[in-house]
Amino acid sequence: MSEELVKLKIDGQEVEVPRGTTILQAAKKLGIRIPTMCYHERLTPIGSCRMCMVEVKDYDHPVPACMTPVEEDIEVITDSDLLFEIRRNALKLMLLNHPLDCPICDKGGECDLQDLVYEFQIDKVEFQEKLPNKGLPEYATPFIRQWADRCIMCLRCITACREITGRQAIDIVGKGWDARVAVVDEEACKSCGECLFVCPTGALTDKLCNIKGRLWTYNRVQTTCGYCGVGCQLELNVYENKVIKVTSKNGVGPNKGSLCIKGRFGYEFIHSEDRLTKPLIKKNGDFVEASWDEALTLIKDKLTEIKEKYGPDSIYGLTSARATNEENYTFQKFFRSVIGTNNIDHCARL
Amino acid sequence: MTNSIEDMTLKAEVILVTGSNTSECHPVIANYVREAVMKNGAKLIVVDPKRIDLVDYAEIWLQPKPGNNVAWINGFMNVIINNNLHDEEFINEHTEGFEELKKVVERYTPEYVEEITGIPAEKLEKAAKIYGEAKAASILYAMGITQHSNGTDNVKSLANLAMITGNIGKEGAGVNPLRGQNNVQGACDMGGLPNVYPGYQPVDNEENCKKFSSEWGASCNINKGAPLTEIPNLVEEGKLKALYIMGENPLVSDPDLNHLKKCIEKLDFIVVQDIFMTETAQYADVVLPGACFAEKDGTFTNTERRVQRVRKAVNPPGEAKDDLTILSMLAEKFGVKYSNNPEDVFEEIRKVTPQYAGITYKRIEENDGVCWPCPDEEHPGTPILHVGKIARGKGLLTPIENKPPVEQPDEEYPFILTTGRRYEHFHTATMTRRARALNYYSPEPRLEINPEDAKQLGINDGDEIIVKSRRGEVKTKAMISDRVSKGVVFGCFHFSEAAINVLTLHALDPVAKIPEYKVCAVRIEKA
Amino acid sequence: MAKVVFSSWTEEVIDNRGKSESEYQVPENLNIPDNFDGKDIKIFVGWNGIVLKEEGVSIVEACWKYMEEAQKHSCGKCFLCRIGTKVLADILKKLVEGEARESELEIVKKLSVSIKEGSRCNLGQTVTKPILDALEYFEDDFKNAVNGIVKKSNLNYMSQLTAPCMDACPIHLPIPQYVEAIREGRFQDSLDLIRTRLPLPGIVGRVCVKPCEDNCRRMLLDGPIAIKHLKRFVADFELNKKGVAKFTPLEGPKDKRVAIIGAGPAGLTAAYHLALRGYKVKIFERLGEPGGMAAVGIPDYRLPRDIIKKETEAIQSLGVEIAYNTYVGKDIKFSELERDFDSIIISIGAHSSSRMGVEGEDAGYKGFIPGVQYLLDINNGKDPYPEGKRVVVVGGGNVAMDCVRCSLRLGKDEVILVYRRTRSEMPANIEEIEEAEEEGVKFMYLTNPTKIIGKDGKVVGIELIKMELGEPDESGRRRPVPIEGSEFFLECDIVVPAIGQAIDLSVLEGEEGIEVTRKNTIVIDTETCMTSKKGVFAAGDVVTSPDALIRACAGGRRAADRVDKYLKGEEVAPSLEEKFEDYFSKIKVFDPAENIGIIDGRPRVPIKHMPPEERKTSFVEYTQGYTIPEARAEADRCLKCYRVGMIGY
Repeated sequence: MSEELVKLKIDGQEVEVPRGTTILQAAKKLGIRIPTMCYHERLTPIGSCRMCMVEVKDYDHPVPACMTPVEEDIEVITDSDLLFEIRRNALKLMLLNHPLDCPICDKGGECDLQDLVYEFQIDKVEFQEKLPNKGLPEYATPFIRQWADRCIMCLRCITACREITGRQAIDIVGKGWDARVAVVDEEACKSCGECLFVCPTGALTDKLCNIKGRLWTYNRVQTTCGYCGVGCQLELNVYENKVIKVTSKNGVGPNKGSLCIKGRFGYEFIHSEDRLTKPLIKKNGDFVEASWDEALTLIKDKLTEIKEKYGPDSIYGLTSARATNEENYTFQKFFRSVIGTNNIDHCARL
Repeated sequence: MTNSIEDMTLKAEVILVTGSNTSECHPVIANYVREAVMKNGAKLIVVDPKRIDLVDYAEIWLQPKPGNNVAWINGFMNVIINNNLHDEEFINEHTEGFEELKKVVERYTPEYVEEITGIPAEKLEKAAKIYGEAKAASILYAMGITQHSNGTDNVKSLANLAMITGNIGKEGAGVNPLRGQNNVQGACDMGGLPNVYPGYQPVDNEENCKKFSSEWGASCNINKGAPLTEIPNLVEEGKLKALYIMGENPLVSDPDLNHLKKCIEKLDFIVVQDIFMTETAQYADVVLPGACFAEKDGTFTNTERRVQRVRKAVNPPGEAKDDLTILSMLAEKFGVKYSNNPEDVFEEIRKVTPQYAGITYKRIEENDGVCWPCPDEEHPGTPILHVGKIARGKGLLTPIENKPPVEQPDEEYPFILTTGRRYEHFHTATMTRRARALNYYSPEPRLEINPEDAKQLGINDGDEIIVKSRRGEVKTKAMISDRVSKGVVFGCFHFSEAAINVLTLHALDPVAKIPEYKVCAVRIEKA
Repeated sequence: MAKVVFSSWTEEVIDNRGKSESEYQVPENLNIPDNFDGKDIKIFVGWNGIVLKEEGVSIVEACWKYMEEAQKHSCGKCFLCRIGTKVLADILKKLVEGEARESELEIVKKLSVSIKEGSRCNLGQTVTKPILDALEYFEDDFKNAVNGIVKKSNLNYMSQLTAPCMDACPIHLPIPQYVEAIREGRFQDSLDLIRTRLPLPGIVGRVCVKPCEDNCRRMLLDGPIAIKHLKRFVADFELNKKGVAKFTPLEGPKDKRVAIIGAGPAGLTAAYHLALRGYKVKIFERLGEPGGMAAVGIPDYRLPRDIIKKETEAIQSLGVEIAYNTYVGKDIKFSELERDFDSIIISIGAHSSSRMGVEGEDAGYKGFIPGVQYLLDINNGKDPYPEGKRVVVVGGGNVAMDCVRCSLRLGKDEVILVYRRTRSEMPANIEEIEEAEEEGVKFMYLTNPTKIIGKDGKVVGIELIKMELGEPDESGRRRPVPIEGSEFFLECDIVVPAIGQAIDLSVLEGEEGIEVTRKNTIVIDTETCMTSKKGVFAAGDVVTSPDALIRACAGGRRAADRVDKYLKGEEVAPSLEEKFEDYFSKIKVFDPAENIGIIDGRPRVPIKHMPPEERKTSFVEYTQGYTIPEARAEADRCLKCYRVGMIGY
């Protein structure tokens, strides 16, 4: 299929893009930034925030840039008094119920709303003092905390739950001001945390770990998930040599930021009390702690003895599909070159 | 996988998923499949005895009786050839053995396949046409295809199907096994197998033996080793005396556990290197504390052959050490010097493994991972295999006959037990059961049983039951579920207290030596 | 038109405040009924503005209440409407209470503009129009309110949500809602929304005359949303992926029994709604299959019988019994039904062909086959007259189109359609006409039969006369007048009159007390749907005379609602919701002259057709439903034209 190109102007600059491209994408190509809030690359445009409204010359009404495809020869205006007013008002309306509790919010420092409020320099909302609270923080799932007041109803979470995971566990409940995001199908929700991943504010937060650090006090280490073979890229959030949270980066890795419950919440085993911390040697049927030297010497002696007595093929090495390439390589190298056997395998088939 | 995750889903016109409970075992790949259907309009065909989640998105779902995969695959080819939907140009240019294959599949008419598998003939025909008519159709499969006594036949049959329709070596197509463990691909690539050196270079080849002997400064053994499923036999024959296990838990994961335990007890010396005191470690003479993925640097190779970085985030607890360090310390005891620096080791891997030759840590960093084969540093990596030319030269079409599973249900053991994983858990669950979130959703073993069967047996949801096979018995709880068909029960192997592999049989595929985990006969009783 | 004090509803703003009634300016094209459910309306506030019918009503109060009502309907999917209307409502309330500051008036204005220009759907875009009108024309009232001079009227207010498509739909399906669900990929939800009213989405999604699409605002931009195809899409999606639906009743089982005569669209819809409410329903059907005229009158290439059977099967999952091949009036007496059931709905449709009134019609010639009979035979898989090769069909409606196109599919050598007016007056759907033309039907316009000519008991030809168009008749179409002496002979061996359907009331044989009209329709009370006999209701073509399928469904739904009320001993009357539906229908929600004023280049997603050469030889369905991405792209074009209308009395 040949791609038909459409030529248009955005803020006076000409650009050519394939038919079907949205105004937002075309503007991005030109390096023109249109503010967005609910828009997320991986989701069908939602259109809830109205931050990306743009005007088109010779047309009466503005349109959302995220949902509107380009047309031949149109002239898009991304900033005007009307647009500024719409965006500012939309933001102010969000702040009517969103508490400015940034100092105690997990998202403080990486919150899209915080950034926009800063950009539009909104220091007060003159509409009215405050709308009634939506109530105390609710529990969305046992591992995800929902802060109803912080929720601006951008609907990214609902869309992600539906589109990315196909679960449809959450939806809007209620009308008008009373509308809120709620779990509508408890059985469908498996705490995969896709909602958490796309939430632009601190309305959904991780509540598995009771240690909380601020963004700037912990380390984020990107690595590959240790469970199934997809190889999802995730970030271990480390605070004082402890993994306290797993996050992911949008668009990165084969998973593009998605994770499953294992990847996102299955990290606690790392710091389990059951972890082995010392070499153990079985003496009279019981395990006894030993030094590394003692343990390794014993292994060397026993393996050498068996090899001498029964030949190298009397020893078998099971390597691991959980270990790294480097470790697997070294393990088989050790068995093949030091022990002298090809008796090496792992549980690829199980 | 011949194609990358994104390619085999988002670029495909038709996706055939078989023997893979994708949304439970590879949730992120299931997301891609769903996106392909919902955004691109890809047509999904599911062939699975279990009503998996993806069935909701399927154009058509075929429900064969467990086992007998070759039958329906041959049936697909029968319909495709009879309707002239095969790709003659591709067959002539890139394959050999078509005429022989044709002869065998001729007999697998939809009606005949219905007799064997229970798939209605017209449904099979419809599905085969959907696959055959597609410009690009990909096949996704997992252990539901391989864990059979004729697993290799199943895989070859799928390859036949892809080849005769020209669905190899192009975008949106391919034959794609979804690998179950983070680095199972890498462990194979690195020669963690009894018959090959790193890069699948056969050990019983003199040139290879020489090459590696000189590289490693030792004389390597030219005789192939034994696959792990042979271990019980070797022990019984008195040929095996010592076992060194690095990060595996065979006493939960392997078939016919009771028998295996008896064998292990006979060994003279066992070393287990692990992060937990596993069921297997209990039998060890020496246990060495290892490090988990968060505590070390290195690389993993994922199911799409993408080599990605593992980065150390925290220190191992106590005196625990990463496996590389342990191995280098052990080597030192044997008077050999091994590096414990992962990047140094990777440089050595590149040198001896042609597929990895062009991959460096720096390139992985810069490119979000690199897919092998990557012969040199200029090479971009290979997300799609066999483009333009099949690696072997010509793809071999192997005529294959259907073989029924080794153990069939009978009066005494009337149910077929099929095993697998659950969304929340991983393998023998040593890690996942130590994570609150995962245990919360799936705290205990359950055996899925069809409502009709349950009614007949007078079993309610949550009732304690005893499952018996010819090899042993397991106590578990019933989960009434219409996801399994009548006469079939499903259990997962995560839970050592109800180790399902006590029941499974030690029937191995003659080539891959994979056990038949997907079919064995059992009886169910109320506890 | 009664008096209007103020109106900003139409382009022309009327302001009669302070004038004596004799000086009142009378608005043109303004149609806001004065009466709602027996109440005199004092003010109407809606999507186009304000219509004030009585001097002295507090505009500020009405604006406040209108925002409160808007809050009840706002879906919560965009910030501006969801929170904005709440803020407006709160400030307006303060104004009414005399507690607002002047600065807040400015907020009302600015925020209203932002909501109007920035909202996601037409609800937010239109709901602020009356507020801005009020601020412009009733500035003093607002200034006074700021200064503490409060005016309250304490009227009662009621509102309902509507949309141009919803209003035009006879059964008032929540169209924007189910279209949005498709956009979001929630196909099952979409279907569930349709089924709140209509149990036959697969049938209606194929053959509906789609008044909704004629009232779609998108038409003013680039073409209406393919609402019909989208409905078919979700129905097919379920059928293909999950099989026949299974329903569960909404209410507990009841011991009351209802008999329905005729398993057509009206009867099936009524049965569905009654069974949902727990009634025991039994349908008596003359034919051997369900669907009524939809089954026998619509050929398989447009509506496969399988679809009708499966949708009926789904309705039967509620426990509805159907007695096929049971002719009420012959096999079972109407009086027996009256004895055995607590209530009866007559929905027998219009299954006879109207007579042409020409010579030779009653001669019993072989080859003279009335349209409905002709289609019935073909749908039963047989060629009504295999010897005949040259077919003349008389008429210009959809049944006539079905007859000619079916004839082609039977392999007839030549098929001619005779119609007394011209192409542009033809009542058949334009798509049907175009497709018949593509397939090779010959059209003879301005021609009318005068005589059927037979020989040896068989049709050998037809005498026709040329017509010309004269003065318009009561339907507004120009009346065709014969041109004297222009008779001519056309050779043919089959003549199919398809000029309309008639109703056969033999059901009621021996039954008295049910009033019927000269046209053989049954008279019902439009409010109660009841015939002149207590407990006997009627719906569908038997009430309306031959009409669109969706209207029959709508009638069936209303009849079911009244039967429910009747059996529960409640007042048998329309619900408030229905009253609003009827009220809005009078106002007309769709404004064909509106300037949409936005850019959005997404033409309607076309549906795939089999090529004419291929389809004209086959009774296989020739249109292909949307694929998932096609359906979602088409649904994405919806402008979501929700509106809120509020009355104050």
